Amino acid sequence: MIPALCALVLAAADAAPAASAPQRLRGDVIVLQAAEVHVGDGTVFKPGLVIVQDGKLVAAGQSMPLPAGANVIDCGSATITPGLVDAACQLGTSALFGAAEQGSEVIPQLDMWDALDLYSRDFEQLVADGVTTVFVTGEASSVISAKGAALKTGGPIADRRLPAKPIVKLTLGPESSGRGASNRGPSRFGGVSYSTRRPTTRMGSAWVFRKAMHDSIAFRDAGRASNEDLEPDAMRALADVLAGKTALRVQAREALDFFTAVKLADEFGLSFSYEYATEAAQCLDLLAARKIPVIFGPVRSSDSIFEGFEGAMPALETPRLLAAKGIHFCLTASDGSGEGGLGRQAGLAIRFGLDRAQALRSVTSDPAQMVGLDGRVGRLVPGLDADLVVWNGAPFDDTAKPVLVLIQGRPVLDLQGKFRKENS
Amino acid sequence: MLAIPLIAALSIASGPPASAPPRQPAPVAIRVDGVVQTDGAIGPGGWIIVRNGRIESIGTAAPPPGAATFEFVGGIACAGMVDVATQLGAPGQFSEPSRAFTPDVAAADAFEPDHSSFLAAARSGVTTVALTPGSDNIVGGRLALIRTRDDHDRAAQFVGPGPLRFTWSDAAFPEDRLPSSRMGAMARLRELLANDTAKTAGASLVSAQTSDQIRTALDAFTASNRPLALLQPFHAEEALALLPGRAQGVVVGPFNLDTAERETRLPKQLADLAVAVAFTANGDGAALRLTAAIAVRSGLDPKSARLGLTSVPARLLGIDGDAGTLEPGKRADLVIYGGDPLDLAVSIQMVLVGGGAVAKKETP
Amino acid sequence: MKKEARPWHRSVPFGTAVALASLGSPLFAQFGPPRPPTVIRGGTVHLGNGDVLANGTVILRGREIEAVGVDLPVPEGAEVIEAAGKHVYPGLIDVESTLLLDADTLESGEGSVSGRVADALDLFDPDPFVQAWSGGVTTIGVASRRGLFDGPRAVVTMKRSRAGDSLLREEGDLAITFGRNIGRPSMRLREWKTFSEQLAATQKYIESWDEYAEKLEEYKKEIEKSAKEGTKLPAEKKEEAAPKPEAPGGSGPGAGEGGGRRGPGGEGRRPRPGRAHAHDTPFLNWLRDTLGWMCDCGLPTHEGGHADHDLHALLLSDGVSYAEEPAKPEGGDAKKEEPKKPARPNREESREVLRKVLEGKIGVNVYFGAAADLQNLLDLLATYPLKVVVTGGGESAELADELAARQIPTVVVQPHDLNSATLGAAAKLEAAGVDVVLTTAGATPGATRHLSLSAAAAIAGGLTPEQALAAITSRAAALLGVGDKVGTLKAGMHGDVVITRGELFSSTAVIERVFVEGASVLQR
Repeated sequence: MIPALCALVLAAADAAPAASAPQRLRGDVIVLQAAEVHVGDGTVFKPGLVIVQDGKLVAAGQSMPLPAGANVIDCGSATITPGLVDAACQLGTSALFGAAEQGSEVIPQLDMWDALDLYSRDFEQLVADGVTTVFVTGEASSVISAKGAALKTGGPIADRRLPAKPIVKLTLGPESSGRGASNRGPSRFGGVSYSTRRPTTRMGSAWVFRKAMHDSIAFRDAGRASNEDLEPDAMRALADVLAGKTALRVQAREALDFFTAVKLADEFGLSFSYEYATEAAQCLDLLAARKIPVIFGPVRSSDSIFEGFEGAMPALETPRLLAAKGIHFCLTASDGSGEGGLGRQAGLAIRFGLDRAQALRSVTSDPAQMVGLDGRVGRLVPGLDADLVVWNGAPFDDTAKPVLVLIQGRPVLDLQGKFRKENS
Repeated sequence: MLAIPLIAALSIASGPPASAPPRQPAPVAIRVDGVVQTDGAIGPGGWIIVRNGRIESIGTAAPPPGAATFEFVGGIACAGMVDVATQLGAPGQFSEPSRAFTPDVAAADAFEPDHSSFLAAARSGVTTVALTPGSDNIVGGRLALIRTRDDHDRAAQFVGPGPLRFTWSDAAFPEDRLPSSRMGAMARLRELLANDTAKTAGASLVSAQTSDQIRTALDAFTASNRPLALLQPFHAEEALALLPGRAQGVVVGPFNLDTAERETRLPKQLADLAVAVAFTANGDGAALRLTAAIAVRSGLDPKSARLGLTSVPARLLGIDGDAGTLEPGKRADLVIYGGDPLDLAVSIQMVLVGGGAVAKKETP
Repeated sequence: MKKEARPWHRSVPFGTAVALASLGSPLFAQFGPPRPPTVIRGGTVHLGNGDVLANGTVILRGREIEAVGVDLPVPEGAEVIEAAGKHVYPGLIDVESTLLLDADTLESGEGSVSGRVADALDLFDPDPFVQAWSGGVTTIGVASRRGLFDGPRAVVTMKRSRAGDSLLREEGDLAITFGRNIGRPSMRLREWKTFSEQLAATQKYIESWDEYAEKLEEYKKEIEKSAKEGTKLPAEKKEEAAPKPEAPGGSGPGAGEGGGRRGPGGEGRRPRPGRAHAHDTPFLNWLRDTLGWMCDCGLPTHEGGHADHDLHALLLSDGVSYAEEPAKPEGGDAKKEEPKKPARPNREESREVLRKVLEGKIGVNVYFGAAADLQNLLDLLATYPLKVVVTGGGESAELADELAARQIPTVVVQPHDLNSATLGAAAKLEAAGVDVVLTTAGATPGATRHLSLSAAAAIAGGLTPEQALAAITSRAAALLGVGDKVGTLKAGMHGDVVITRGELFSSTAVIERVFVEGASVLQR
């Protein structure tokens, strides 16, 4: 489709042509050749190759002189894409303690990073699905959640965390007001019970948000706390939200909660992105007019098309409609990695009319940009992390799956033993 | 046969009341055939001269005139054992579960100096123990450092305040207590570490079991420049590689014949990573030696095992300037064994705590 | 395989050996090519019986020890292992181990007299073998101790063999356990009552068979006499030559004795006809449990009857009636013209096992939980002169003089924490003149690998190193009844040898080589 002009592009750090500095590159350099290389911004090289050094992508193109001494891996008829990025992942939290902090319903001072179990088997599953970067979003049982955390799904523990922009989440609807097991507050010690602490209705959730914001404003202006429930740290964190230093995300499965969110945002002069937008198809015009970014999904195989959560309609055509309206969006698999993961979300979107190139963007560069990581991941361009997925077929087809996954140049999944063979 | 009678009659052991001026007891000279050196190896023996509760010389001087002399053929002298995690004297009294964070609780408040378990510990070769708050709280309180015998024949606390005890495993996260999530606990923990200005020499003792518990504990303590020692980090092989340079040491035990090999080989794995290992067995010297012996049979080198009974736990408690090794100038906490302290066939010949003899094997 | 002069396992490190062990076949050593002789020379050789050869030589050929001595010539083609500065021991023996038994066998079900533990061994899992070798253990006694009676113990050589020849003894001593019945009321009174009742019933069983044999002889004479007198020949005569299990009991003379308690079906409770082994089926085990419970609760079990007598007898008898008078041949009373064939008693497997015990053909290994049990046992020996071995903790030291006077072999179980309070027991027994045998008898199978450490602790308790070594080698072998095959380094014995760097009882000793029946199984 796109004329694949060979472009030998080198990272700024390695400005000298590869051929002239072979000793500099020797040993560390990996070259992957494949039938197709999808850069992630729409560009496709057929055939293509990528050059990786020191965990970074050095070049991607159709053909170029290979650096001397490079470790060349021929992936044959496979397709290479950037590692997938999930901007609203809910996996990997510590199974024992969970991420549901019952101490308060407003916890923007906390950090989801502390709730993660980096040794969780969830990450192996994410890697197997081709997902290399996740933004773990705040727990929905809090009205205002902890800050989300971005991380790589594999590689050395010390290299996993990524500097995403701070994002807290406002959850409206039954998740933050319901009485499910995860929403039960402690009772024996500390005098907190769910009847006194939790909002139990939709309007209750909105009230908690509004009160927290007003408290934070009062705290900012007066310099002292007026609300004994909220810790000073929490109010400082909310002040950052008001000042725009911390981004706000809203989870609202149903359209009516979305409209509440718009109302609340207007009250405090905030902008937000829209997560888990199950009924986004019902608010397309408002989303387009206000340029609200949407993180859509997941569509679950267990959801029938006819019944959703509390009557919400998971619309399989939503991605196509969002694209048609020019709304900035990405896809998420949330906690559904066992159902084919993020790739399956993209596959479903393609089946229901989304353009293939845009489907790839919606699980790579678009989510990366939404969490402020577009300078690190999401595309196969020089200087970015060498996170890439080799698919044994057309990406997102039901029959295709990742056979080789690199994160920062290290193989974290190698079903065909390419690296074992090459290195031994 | 093994019964070791207390020799209370030894003049140096029965001291005057606390108000009396410092004693000038006669020096003690003990001849042994081997000494466990500071690197854990068994070196040549000689006369060990003890004066005023301190070691004056090892193998370099003859017994001074007037000294009480003891000779042990085949005997090997080693520093007294140190156990960093005991609940001697008041089992079950070291947990205050009503709150998740109880940094102000002090194990010293449950310390009972005359309890017989301290004497039993001393007789079995344990000269220093830490009383350790239990595992019911995320922050359980401060350790109390106890010498098992003092000049007045009772146990005595000798420095304060001790390091903090943390529990980062599921025991500290009951369903009905706040905080309910680890991130909530982490926020509180960072605040506490930032505000805790108590000057303690030792490493905080942290119970963490799974790999991720260990990772987050290391993160929190590294960020606040606090030394920590991990307690019983089994089920965590993936995280062991994180320990070098970040954990002061690891405390394991007790092992017995039934302990799974998966656990008994942990000391060897840690030693391979150059992480110091200390053994714990609730202040029971025989159980400590069994633990070390099983660790050796599971691959640990004998030098590290000997240090794991003595100098490593002393360093973790921050008392290595005064105890844990046999060096001139240090406190005379020493145990004379009939051979290598690691050998279970060998029994204890004599124990001195602070220069005072606590136990001496009956000579036929 | 042929061109490989040395067996694979002599040239690979232990770690690899372990890895390969899990692959299976290479360790089934006897299927490999014939081995050259192995000569271990220059080491301090501890024979196991108390003797020590400085600078000794041990020669292994085939599966056996060819020679042990000083300055022996090296046979041609032999592989020589220089053991200078090292120690050579017989393979160690843990007389009571749970290695090779899976958790199900250990914990579930109930012991029965006739169930042989040899039938429950898992010889295919490589793990127990590796564990045993890593502790220098080459022979183990295996017992399951689930109930009062657990059937004969087995003695196993720790070699991986597909030939089924790793059992040194299939029918060892009978395992009897007092005071350890987890999950059931473990009342001493009840246990001893059951035990002595079983022995009494077996005595009666033997008598009934003796009586039968006597009567049968009389009957045969009668028949011969009448044949000479020319009377008719009884049709049954040819059957008598080879008695076989009784056909349906209801038709036999024994049916009458249960008549007072007929069940609803009209048939009296009768022994299961022709199903002598039926009590081993899971169903009957379940039934026995249930009936036992009903007895305990005093529940009626069928109309008009009461569980207590009827079923308690069943419970105690492994499903076969014995509490009643055994079926007595009635022919003796008949002073009729026609000689009457005597009734043959039922053959019962559990009785047959206990019969061997009473006749001294197999011994009993009695585990006791308290000194009182041991005293009870000693009292019982006055009535039943059993061949007895006692196994227990430090309590046996309380009766050291008694045990010594009666020359009862005594096994001392070393506590799993090697708690110093009981470690003196072995020395105390030894001082009284008892030949002590030490075992781990661990709650977990893995304890066996620490056998030498647990013996070292007994040395701290006062045993000499020579006694401690004998307690886990030669004496242990004699106690298991395999003293002619293992436990001592002597020509003609099995080639079970351990080479250590450092003395065995030192914690810092490294077990470098282990040979089982001449084959190297561990090298590090």
